[in-house]
Amino acid sequence: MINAILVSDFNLAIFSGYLCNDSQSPAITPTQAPFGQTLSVLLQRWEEEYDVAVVWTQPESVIPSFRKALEFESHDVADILKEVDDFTNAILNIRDRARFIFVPTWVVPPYQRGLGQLGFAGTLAAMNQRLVENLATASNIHPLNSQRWTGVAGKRGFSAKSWYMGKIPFSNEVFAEAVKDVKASLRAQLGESRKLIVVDLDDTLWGGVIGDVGVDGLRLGGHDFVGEAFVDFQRTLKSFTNRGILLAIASKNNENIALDAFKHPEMVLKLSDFAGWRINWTDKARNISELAAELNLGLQSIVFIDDNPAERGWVREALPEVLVPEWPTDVTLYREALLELNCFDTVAATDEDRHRAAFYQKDRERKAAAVEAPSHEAWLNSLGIKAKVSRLNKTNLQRAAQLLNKTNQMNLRTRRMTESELWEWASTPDHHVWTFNISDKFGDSGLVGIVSLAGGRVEDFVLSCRAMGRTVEEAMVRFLIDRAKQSGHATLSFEYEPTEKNKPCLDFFKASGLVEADNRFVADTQTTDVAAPAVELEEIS
Amino acid sequence: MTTDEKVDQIVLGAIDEVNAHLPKDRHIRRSMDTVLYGSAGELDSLSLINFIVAAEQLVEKEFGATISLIDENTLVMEDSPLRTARTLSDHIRGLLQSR
Repeated sequence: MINAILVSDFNLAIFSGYLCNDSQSPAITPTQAPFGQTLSVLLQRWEEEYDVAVVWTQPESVIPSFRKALEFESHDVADILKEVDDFTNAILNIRDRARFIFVPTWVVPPYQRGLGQLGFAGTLAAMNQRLVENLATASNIHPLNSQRWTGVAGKRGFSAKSWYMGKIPFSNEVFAEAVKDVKASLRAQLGESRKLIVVDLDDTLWGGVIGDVGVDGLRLGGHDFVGEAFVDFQRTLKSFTNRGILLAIASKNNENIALDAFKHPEMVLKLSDFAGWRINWTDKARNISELAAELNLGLQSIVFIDDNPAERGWVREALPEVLVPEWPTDVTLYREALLELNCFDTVAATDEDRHRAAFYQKDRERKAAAVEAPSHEAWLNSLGIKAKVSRLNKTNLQRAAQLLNKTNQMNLRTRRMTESELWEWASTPDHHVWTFNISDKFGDSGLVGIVSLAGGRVEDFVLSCRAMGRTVEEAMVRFLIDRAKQSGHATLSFEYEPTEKNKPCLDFFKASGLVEADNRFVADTQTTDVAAPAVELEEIS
Repeated sequence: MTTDEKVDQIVLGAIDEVNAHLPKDRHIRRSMDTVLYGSAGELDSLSLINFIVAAEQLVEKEFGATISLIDENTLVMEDSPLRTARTLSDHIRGLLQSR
């Protein structure tokens, strides 16, 4: 259970109630700070520590010069921005008091027309820009786009009656949208965002059934509003791969006929955009399960999109962990329906994210080579696996924190830390963090492993699912044993903390040969030998 | 659906909106017999505000009519139209008819 403090210049009781009642993960227990005392709450000492703080204010309440602007009094934009700086300093004052701090941006009601034309929009945009820039100095403070919430609610977003009667400026719809975004952002921070979209083909990626109409009969692009909508939907799916979201196919078709569709001149998606596919006449729930296993992803990482309500219903029933959103019957709404999903929110997109699909394509090539190799050992040796080991530094910090927070399966203790928390931990005496960049003859997998030591105890042992099973795990253990030995520790311990998702880590350690007692695995630094002959280790720093 | 039924659904819909932010053990009973306001009323002050605003917004959405459910007397009258879900439904119908 996550505890949250809500700080505001207005009554957040409705928002607090929605936060409590919302069934989506994670569960939150909110506490409302006395409203209307924003600055004193931010500047005073807090008796409790909180996981989350939400600081939600109206611009005219906390920026006095903006109130002057609203009332057409003489004012200077420079004064407004100076007051924004002062306010953001008050928020930065609480950066160490909550793990995650959310600050909705400022909005004004649509009836605030100002002098007309641009009205207050320019000033408000400058204020929000300054707010976001100033808060960016703290990696655990996250602005949220409140304009999206009021946009969804429309004209009913602002409630004058609620304001005068109860100091509640927004409608329930705005608060409901705010809760969705707070939770989505938290899931992103905690590594719970979804990672894979499995799509159907016929009437989902293109109009028509390819087995009936052939490639030339598909509605895709052209001077056809339906075709154009399908192209835009494909383009949006492809854009998701730039954020590190994987795509896969589960379609009831003859594979060779279905794959012909990728020759269509207006096909935006290429086969190389997909991390895997199951195109056959087997039940889709089984296909999705197989794809999850193939890609080393849990079912809770998957979203399934299919135009057919019967298929959706079946997958929902058979695989309750898979998110199966209701899907519009009108294809012109497909793109919007996809973009509205908040289960993919992420903290940042790195270059590695953008190339993730390519990593899986390389993995298919690796697995194909494994089938042809005379033995597993021969295959491993043929890969030419290289591990470049670096100490945590400012360059790899972002990717390291992302990996720490997103990895579920091969994760010894599932510690979740913001960038600043990880850096601070690594900077403590006798704490050490190393990253592993892995490559082989099929390509570079990037930064896929993190290990950390505190004395003779391993705090983090993390490996991306796409690097599992190539004895990189063994190489990481061997590296840690060497380091512990060099530091004069007679033993090195790995204490496994079970979660719903990290049993693969337990399985690895049980098979590792280390001495086990109650989920604690111990290596004697003098005698324990964990072999990883297929991995060539190079220490960069 | 008749106008009467639509108005009843609006009142019940407003109860649903209030319940969305209340803990389960404090949910307002979803019934036209529910006592909303007064000595035995189930709505506390915050929920009353939320209920009124929700009901007015639902009326506007359904009928395109802007009404105000309360004035300076409504909350102090012995026989307040807000007393039960049913009296409120009658009140809304009266307001709509008088427009």
